[in-house]
Amino acid sequence: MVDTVLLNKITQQLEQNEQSARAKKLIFCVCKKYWENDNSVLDTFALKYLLEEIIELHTNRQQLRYSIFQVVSLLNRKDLYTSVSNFLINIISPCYQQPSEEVTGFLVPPVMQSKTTYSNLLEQVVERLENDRNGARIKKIVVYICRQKWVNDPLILDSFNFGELVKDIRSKYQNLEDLENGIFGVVNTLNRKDVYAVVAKTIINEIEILYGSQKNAAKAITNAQKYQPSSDLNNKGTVISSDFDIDSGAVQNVKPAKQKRRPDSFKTYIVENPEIPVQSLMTELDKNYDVFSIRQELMKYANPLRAKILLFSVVYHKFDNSGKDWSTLNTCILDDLMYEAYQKYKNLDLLEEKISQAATLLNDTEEYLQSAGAIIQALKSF
Amino acid sequence: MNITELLAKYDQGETNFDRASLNGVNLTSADLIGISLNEADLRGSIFMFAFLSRAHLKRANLVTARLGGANLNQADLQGANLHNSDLHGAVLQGADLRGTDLTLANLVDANLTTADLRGADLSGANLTGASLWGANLREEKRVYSANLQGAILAKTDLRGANLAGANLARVNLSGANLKEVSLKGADLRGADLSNVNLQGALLLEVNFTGANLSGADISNAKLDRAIFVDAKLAGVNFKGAIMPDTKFAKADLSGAILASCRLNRSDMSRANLKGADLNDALLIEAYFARANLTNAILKNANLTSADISTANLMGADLSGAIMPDGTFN
Repeated sequence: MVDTVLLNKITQQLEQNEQSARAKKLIFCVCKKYWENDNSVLDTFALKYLLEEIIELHTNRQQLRYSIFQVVSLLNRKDLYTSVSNFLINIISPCYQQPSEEVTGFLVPPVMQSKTTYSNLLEQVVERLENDRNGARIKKIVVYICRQKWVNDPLILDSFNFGELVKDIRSKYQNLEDLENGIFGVVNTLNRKDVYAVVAKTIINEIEILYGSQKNAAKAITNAQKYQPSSDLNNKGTVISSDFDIDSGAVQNVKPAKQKRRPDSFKTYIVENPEIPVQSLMTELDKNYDVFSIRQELMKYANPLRAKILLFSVVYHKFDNSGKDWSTLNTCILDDLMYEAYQKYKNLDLLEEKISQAATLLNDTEEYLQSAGAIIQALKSF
Repeated sequence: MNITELLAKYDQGETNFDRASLNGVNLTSADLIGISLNEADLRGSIFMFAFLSRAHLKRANLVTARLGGANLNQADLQGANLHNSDLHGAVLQGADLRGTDLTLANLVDANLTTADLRGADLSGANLTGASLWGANLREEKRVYSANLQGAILAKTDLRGANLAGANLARVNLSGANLKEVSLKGADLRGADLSNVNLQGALLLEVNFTGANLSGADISNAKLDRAIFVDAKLAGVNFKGAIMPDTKFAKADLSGAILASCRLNRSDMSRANLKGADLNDALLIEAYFARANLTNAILKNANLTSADISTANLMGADLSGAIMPDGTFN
């Protein structure tokens, strides 16, 4: 039960802040598990009650912080929302009586905590991984990581004790970052990277509860999403993917919440079949190709002019620095070149190969290779 | 000073080259991060793909300079003269461009995200495909100083940018992304806003007289007191927009989606609302003198005290609507 006087004080403080509208959106998302921009909808929820809900949903400041930053990590305007989040966390913090003790508690490795708690957690993790829609794939990856062999035979896979394997993983990787690197290292060597990236994300989401650090968990989830070009294929077949994904599960909950989210108007698409190969994922991408979101992603890491020269080389011919090529480059825009390149190959792996080839043929290859990576990354993120 | 001398000194750790005379030099791909060239003469110089992030270029003369693909992240270019310069695909993220002369500059596909462009003169500049999200172009002390007259802003990404009070009359913004942009009090008379995304934008008191907004998405925007006289708004989506006291006289709103919009006291005189969707719209005291409402859908709309006496309501669906006299239809 939240102290009413304190709650009123927090509500008042928040209402007086110039970022109150953004803070409300954040709180709303943490509580309701979807992003809402519509003010008429937001207005139907009193700030005070949303605050009460978010406070009651979390037992300590750390959990609150984790939930909020998990949402922020998936937003486009991270910088802006980071400052809003910090303000929000600071004003809510007085509701949690002993923040220092809780922080310490969280940093203690699970092995040091009560054995019963740890084995219970382990059991739950194993149960969820086994019962996951991608259970077989999960086990293949886990076996590969622990036993260094790829097993396709279901009978042989069954002979491995899942609980032991998960325990092995926990002891093999000291933190989530290492686990993430290990798993994605394996995923990168596989043919069906897209499908297994989703599997990898599930493993990390489930196992993160066995690690104490929440910071690493957040990072792992973010990275997992980088590898997730299409959708969360675990979510009972029909899955909605968007730039706003809160499906990653929360550390504070024993069972990560699998929420269906309201689709964002941009880059949202539904995948019915978890066995979709890359080619058809591209078709899905085609329907939701959003030039502004892709450009925004590209601008984070690429030099626009280098990206244009590269894409020009892929779409037309090797850019030869001639006046004619410069003139063409001036009259076409990056978005159009990007879309043309994408249309030409319709397959990200092939496009990646072509772009890398083009980069190696140009002077300043290293610079162009960096841009090539950014182009593919931007396309893959949708 | 020649290039060799400059590069040698820079290699030795010297960064202050203020007021240097380097016009016409070629520094393609040069690494000059953090260099100070305040008030330097750099006319016609070539800095293609150069690394000039955090460079100090206050009041530098960069007329006709070639800066295509240059990295000018967080560079200080206050008051610099970049007239007719080539900044094609340049990276100017977070750069301070206050009071710069960017007239006729080529900024195609430039990255100007979060750049400060207050007081910059961008008249005649080509910004096609440029990214300007979060850029600051707003007025200061109620005086708008940035100049965007005649600029080409087609397909630009201006999401969340602050353009309050901007003079964008007759500017080409077709296909631009203006989601959640602030254009409070801006002048967009005669502007080309076809196919723009204005979702959730702050458009209080904006003047859209004669503007072309065909295919635009204006859903959930705030449009109090905006002026759309003679504007082309056929098929435009205004769903969820808050727009009391707006003026739509003679505007073409045929097939527009105005469902659930708050249009109290709006002037719809002589507007073409043929087949428009006004379901659940709040139209209290709205003025429909000689408006064309044929086949418009006004189900459950609130028309209390609205003037529809001279409107053409042929085929209009008024079922469940509250009529001007307060009765239910």
